[in-house]
Amino acid sequence: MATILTVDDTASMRQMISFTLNSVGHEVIQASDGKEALKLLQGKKVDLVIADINMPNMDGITLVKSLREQAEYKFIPILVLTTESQEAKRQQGKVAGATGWIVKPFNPEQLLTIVNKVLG
Amino acid sequence: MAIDMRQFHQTFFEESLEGLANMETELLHLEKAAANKGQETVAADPEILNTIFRAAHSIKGGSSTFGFEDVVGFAHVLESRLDAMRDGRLTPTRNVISLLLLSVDCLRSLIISARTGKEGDNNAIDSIRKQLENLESEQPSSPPLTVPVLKPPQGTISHWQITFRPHLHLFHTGNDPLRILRELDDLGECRVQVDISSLPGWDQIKPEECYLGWKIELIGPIPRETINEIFSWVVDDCSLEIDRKPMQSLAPRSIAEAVASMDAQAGTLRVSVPKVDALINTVGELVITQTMLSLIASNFSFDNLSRLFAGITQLERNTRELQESVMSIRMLPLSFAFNRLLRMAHDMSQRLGKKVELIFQGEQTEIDKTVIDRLIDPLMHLARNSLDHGIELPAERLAAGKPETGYITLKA
Repeated sequence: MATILTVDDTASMRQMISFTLNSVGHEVIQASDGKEALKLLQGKKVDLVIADINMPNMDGITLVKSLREQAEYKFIPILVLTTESQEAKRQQGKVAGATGWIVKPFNPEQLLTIVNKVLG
Repeated sequence: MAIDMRQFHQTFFEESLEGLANMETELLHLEKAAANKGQETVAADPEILNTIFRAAHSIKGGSSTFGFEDVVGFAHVLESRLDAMRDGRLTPTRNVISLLLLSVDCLRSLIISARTGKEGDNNAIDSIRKQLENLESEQPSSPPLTVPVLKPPQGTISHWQITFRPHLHLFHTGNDPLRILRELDDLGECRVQVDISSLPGWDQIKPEECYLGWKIELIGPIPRETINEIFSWVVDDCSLEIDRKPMQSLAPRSIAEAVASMDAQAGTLRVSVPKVDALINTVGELVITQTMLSLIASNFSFDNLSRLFAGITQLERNTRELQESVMSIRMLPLSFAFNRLLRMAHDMSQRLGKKVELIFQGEQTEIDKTVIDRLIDPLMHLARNSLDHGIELPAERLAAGKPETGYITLKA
């Protein structure tokens, strides 16, 4: 089972994501913004990062950029959460090095499908 | 997988109300700043605008995830106005700020309704929502909220040919081509061929770069959107061609089908000696290729890679030839059907006292025996009608200045 970092400033989203991932046996680390995510990681091995884009202190795009600069996180899948209308954000995420995106709103089943897809 | 979403509702309500409170505070800050300077418009701190936007954005995201449609609708309108304000397309005048404060009240009321099930003042909410919508009418309205729905595969079978060449940096995006191939394989019958033409020498290979490309044939009831969806994350990180191929009747499995249906008809088939000879030759070649491939495999090293590929190319050719030979067994020249007409024309013209001659063109064209079997009856019917109704008695023909004998021509 995988270790997954979820970064979102919205507690209910964080809870929903962690609960869903926990329910199939993944270990979940939660952070409320990019800064906290970097502090929690410090070289710790994770298999996947799911990050919201709009966050205070450090947004998702900046987080993706700084993760890709670290050797430990150069090749891991990083997914950003976007809404249907945020085509520009999605592209920014890709340029920063994100693997792909999850479109909000999503339900637990959709989340698990995408997570299984990238964990292979 | 059934997860009860209700367990997250309480957290959502609490943080949404908290977000609205923050939003209210920040909006009041904006207004105060404007009042202090005695200005109508405010030079707003971008961080304040961001905080206000984020509150509405989070509420919209949460409410759509948890299914509170009324909240979603209002939050969506509010969010798009706040986005415009953040981008400088909408100036936060005092009037605008007042309206935004009223919107906070509406959203709060909607969230409380969602929590308690009690209806709020829907008329007031609607009127404020309309004012919000008209706030910048010169701006094109934002697209309606859509929830992405994956269409289930449709019934028609498609044959897709996909050329997928990742750019060198693909691994740096965290994407894995193997994952993509696996997903394609889940969709239907999938044949994958690797393209190693861009692989540099061992001394130049950088392990972090992707040098391989793939040609994928995919057969199944698969709509194009499903394939696009699979490549959506990497479409800018590769060169990609997705083409629909016309369905071929010569798909390998049709050999088995052909044999099965021949068996089922329990008829016999006369096959010309050259066709049988060709078949035996092809099988001989196939055995040689197989022996060669076994030899390469039993003593394999990377130096042999080019021989392996040559062998596989040869195997492909043998397989194709064998397939064609087998298929051609069941092919018969059309003369097989045409000749049946000769007898009919003969009998019929005698009975009616007419003189007729059948002329065949292209009768050596070969088509599948099952098709010929079905063609015979309609052809018979056509020729009989032509003879009966189209050709006059010899005396009438002569009187009309025509030759005594009429001609019926069949072209293949």
